[in-house]
Amino acid sequence: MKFQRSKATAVLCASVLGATVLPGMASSAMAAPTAKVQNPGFEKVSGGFPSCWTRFTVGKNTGTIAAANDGRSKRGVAVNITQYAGGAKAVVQKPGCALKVQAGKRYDLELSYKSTSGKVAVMLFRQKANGKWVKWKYMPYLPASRKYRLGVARTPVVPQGTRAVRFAMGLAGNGRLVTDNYKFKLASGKARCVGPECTKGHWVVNDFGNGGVRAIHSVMLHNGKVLLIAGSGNGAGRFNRGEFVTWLYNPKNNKFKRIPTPYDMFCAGHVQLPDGRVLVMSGTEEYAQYEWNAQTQQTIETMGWIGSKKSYIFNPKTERYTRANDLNDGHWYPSATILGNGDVYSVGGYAAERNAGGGNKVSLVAERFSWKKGRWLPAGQIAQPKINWATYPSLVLTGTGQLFYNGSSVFGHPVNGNGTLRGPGFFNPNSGAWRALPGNGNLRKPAARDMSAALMLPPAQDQRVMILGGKNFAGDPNTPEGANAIRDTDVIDLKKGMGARYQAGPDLNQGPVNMGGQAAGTEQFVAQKGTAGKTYVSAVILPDGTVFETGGSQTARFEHVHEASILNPRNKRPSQMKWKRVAADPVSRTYHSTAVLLDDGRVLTAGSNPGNLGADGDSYYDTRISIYYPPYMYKDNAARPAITSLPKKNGKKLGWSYGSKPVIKANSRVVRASLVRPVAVTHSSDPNQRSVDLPVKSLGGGRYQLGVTKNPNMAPPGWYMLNIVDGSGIPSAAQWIHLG
Amino acid sequence: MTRNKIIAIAVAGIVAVAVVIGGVLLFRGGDDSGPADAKKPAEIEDVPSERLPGETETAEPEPLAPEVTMTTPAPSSADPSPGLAAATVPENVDGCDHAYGATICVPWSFPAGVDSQKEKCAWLKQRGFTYLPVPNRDRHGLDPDKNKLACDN
Repeated sequence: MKFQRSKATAVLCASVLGATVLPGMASSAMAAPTAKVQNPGFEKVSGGFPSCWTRFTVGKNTGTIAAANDGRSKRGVAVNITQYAGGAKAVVQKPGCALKVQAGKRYDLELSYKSTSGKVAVMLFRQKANGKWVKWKYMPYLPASRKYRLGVARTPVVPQGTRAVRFAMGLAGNGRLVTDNYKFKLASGKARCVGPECTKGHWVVNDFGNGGVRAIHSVMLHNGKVLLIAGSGNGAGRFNRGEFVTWLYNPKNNKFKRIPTPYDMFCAGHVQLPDGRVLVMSGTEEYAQYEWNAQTQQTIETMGWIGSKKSYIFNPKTERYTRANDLNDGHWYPSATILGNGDVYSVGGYAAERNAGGGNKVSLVAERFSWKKGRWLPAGQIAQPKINWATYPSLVLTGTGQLFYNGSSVFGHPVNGNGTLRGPGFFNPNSGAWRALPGNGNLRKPAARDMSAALMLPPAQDQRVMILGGKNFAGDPNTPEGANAIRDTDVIDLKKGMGARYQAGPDLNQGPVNMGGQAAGTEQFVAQKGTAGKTYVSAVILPDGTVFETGGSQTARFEHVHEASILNPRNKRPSQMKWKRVAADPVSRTYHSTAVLLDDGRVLTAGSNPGNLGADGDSYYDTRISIYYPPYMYKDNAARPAITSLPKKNGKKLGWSYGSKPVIKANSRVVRASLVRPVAVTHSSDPNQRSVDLPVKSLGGGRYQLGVTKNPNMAPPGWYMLNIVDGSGIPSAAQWIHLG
Repeated sequence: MTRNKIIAIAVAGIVAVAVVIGGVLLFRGGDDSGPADAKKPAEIEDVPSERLPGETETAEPEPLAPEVTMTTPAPSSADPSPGLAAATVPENVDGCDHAYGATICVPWSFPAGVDSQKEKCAWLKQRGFTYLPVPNRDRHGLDPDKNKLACDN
């Protein structure tokens, strides 16, 4: 597969416009600005186009911008893109019709639009005192709408020295946008938010054609970029050809960079080290194979998967992998939990050899990467209890430094020596000691938690773990659990130690199920029924302290559920928690899909690997990337709280120590602050994801003292996203903080 | 007026001018990132040069789980010999019959009510299978004419 450059240059509308000169942008010659929008309904036409307005195209796209007869009132302007590769088309005010504004004030913009694309946005520009036009503020994308709807935007505070402002309405994808009826006035009262995006959020989908990424592993880096690892991407053909792929994705401009990938990291484990580099362990040494047995006249899996012993470290600064020493064994589907001292503990996955029959063999070897020594330790230096942890067991670091196996795993459960299910329990990575919770800790349907999601609920100080959905893939199809994934969510309070028991949380919401294919035009939706829930579900902590779940399927690699919800766990018992339904990802996300919180508060979802064949003879894969804009992006976006200052010394940002009390500045009243550990996820599994509360003390003058935990087991060392939340519950974009 | 006083006044004047200029610059606002520099995000650097001086207590005490008491018996008694069987993975662990392909997923068991070859082929076709080789084992009987292709008869 070769990346298509033209597709790769696709960029977000806002980014393109930000780097581009608008018509008249550099000019200071213009008529005196006016207080009202001139020709607001496009009714006056001059030279074949509404007077006071002009066409604007940037980037590689084909289409038209023209007066249209299907405007909201009478005449509107239609922006039509038929072949989109990048950039945008927009209708923008001419410089001579710019708007007069007062410094220090805010303004409300209103317009009508309809669009077949969900990639439409309002862009604001301002003219500086020297006459130069500059970009000012880009609003989040607005949803598609078949009928005319209202679009509103409140500007930021007009900066001193601003002579005038202009705005544009643009389209950044294939489709047709018609816009009409503009109003611009001094802001009054609370900023309005209209449309479903205010409560449900909004998705945009980026399609890279054949050049997309088989993003089976997604890791958020502390420079805001996302490492998307495919390795061979579940393709035996690519494995045999040695085609191992990693892409570095920049969500700010929607661009990729290909990273040389030294071995097949497909089904590896990964975690950010305390310095922000990414430790990758194991992967695929050999694909499974099947042999024909002439005696039995059957093909059987005589050649199981072999796990690699290799390990590499990705450096976000150099954007290169460097080799670490080998693991003691192969671990195809390993766990990867960072400990309070920065070490990484890893168990499970398929070994570096097949079993005696040639099939898959789970490694019983425990591995430990010493942060201090910078290498994997020899097996003899690690407690080796020889536990069968199966594949991607979810081992969460507790505040005591012990690990909690929460009952979530992938394709097979950890089992005891006698083959019985090893349910939730505590584990000591130093001694190898294990203690199971009685009765599987009251976890409901413990055998149906394959490909469930599990995470420590925010705040981490509450020490509560939630497990979401899952399926018993080997179950009897004539039973509810064997037939479909489950809806159950269960929550356990680890502060109770051995007395901890799972309690029933709210069922996952049901949604439309795509019973058809994944490719466009082959989808067939039906309502989800009965007790069916989701497996392959993704769960992401948001910066406002809520949990976002998205994607998943109700059966093995088919029947994709288009549903997403947000849950606020703070100060609530499990029985009081509730999933609030929000907009669903337009793309069916099933096996090998991932979700990542971005540092600006958006969520990226990538990948999907349904069970059918692709055109290349290997498994089909959907390489589109979706970006979710949560509701908080739309509530007076221009007034989102912002962290305006962090502790510095000699101009350099300081790292934060455990137990310290850093003082920050913010432009809004801060009611809550948190450190969110960046996601490193595959197969719905990221045991390290957490949000750690920072107690806030107001010092006046926009200064706030935060309290950093003194317990490294609460927040293992590394880079975190610092977010603040204002009195309206709106979170800021993150600032990256190094802890430890 | 002494020489030192003159110097002090001059320095104070320079400082005052600098403060005024700084203030003007501060409130003039940035070009493209927001209404004012006061709202500009702090500069991001790759690696912090120093740790923040630590203090001993956080503002609020954190509740901590009691450490779970665990003994560390020898592996053989803590976890009865795992043996080959315990470490071996059943073929249908992911719900797929991979005899039809290692990376694709023909269900190990079709849903209840999907029993005949015709029904199974319709189920697969609906979900995007337009072509399905049958290299050898055919548990589901998708290739009755044995031409190595499922659902083509």
